[in-house]
Amino acid sequence: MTAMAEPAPASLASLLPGRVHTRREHVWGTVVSLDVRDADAPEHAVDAAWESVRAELHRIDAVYSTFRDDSVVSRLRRGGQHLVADDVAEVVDRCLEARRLTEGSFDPWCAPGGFDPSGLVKGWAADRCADIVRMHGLRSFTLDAGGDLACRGAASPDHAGWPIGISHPDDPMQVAAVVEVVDAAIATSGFSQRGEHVLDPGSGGAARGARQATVIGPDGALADALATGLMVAGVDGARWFSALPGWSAYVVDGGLTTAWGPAFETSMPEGAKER
Amino acid sequence: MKRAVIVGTGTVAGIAAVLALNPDPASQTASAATTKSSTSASSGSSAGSSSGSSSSGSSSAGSSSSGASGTYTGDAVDIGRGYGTIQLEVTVESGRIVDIQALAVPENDHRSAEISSYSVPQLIQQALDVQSAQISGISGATYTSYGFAQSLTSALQQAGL
Repeated sequence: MTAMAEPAPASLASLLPGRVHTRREHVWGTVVSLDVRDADAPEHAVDAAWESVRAELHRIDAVYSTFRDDSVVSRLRRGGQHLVADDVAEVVDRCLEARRLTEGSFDPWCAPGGFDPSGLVKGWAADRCADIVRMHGLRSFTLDAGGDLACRGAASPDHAGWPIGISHPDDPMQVAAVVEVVDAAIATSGFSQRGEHVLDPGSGGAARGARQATVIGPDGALADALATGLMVAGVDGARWFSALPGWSAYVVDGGLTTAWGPAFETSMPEGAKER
Repeated sequence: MKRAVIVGTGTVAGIAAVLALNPDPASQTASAATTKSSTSASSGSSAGSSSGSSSSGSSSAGSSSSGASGTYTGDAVDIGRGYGTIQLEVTVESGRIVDIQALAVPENDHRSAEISSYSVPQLIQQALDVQSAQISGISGATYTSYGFAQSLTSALQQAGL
């Protein structure tokens, strides 16, 4: 990967804008936030967009939460046949697609307690909410769903996209790398400081493949699922990941950090060519 | 995705996210103004003082809009999941952060208190050291740093920074 110098410190005054539009909501046990940078965005347009996003966030919670007995997903987990809304069918389809692409490293059907699409829904929802924000006429923003971001437009006229830090797997107060994300999604899966683990569908235990995996690509649902899949597969996941043109990954596996794909201006690792 | 390039690797202080709001070419002049206004703002015009929590603020010079000084209390931010609340008090002199105090840190349970005890001082030190704005978000963000960013940002907005 390309090593670059750390960004030069600058004075606060040169960094902080006159106008900031941020909104946040506690939902799904995490924080979802919107950061709008359109220079001419009126406050009421941001308010209207956020109102629609909040409604969608809570609708998604009611449908997809595995913590609510009455959610659609909880009913699916209990088995049987159910008539579901189009978006639920879409999520199930995306789960099937992600399971196939990751050769089973991402498998919502191997979760304890039954079908659990949580490893894909956050990124899927980030994209979906970003579409809502765009429908309100906003163009430059990030929709951050608990660390899975949908990035649209640019952070400032100086940027092609959004410079996004990847959290450091060993030190929650640091970032390990910075990637400029241009009209794409970025999702990270890892062992958080709160000790939440990713399960290996093969063993049913905690994934031992990688300590942290970040994926950048054109689709939020897949970015989220691929990050989970790479956590399980570790660098061996390069075998299937390399079949996805336009996708990039940053994987910390043991003491080794590897970065693949166009976001990091690197080719796939050697192992990936054996496929 | 059209294109995405890496813009930096290595260790970058996580706090940079706090300040990464919108580097605006138009404010480069403000940056220059900050450099020259190094005097301590212990007295002077109160034209620059903001409403609300500003306690001792005063602008060092009317000629620079970036020379805000004073003490500003950020929002109390609930970091979620019942972990607790973080709230910061920021002292600004001539447009630069000179001190950050944590008025509240997440400590609703033993683990949260433990995380706060090492992470909050680190975040404060990084905010003081870096004052840099090179990233606009964090993938895989943690709860504590998120709340810290929110409270600091609100304090800086009060300061007009």
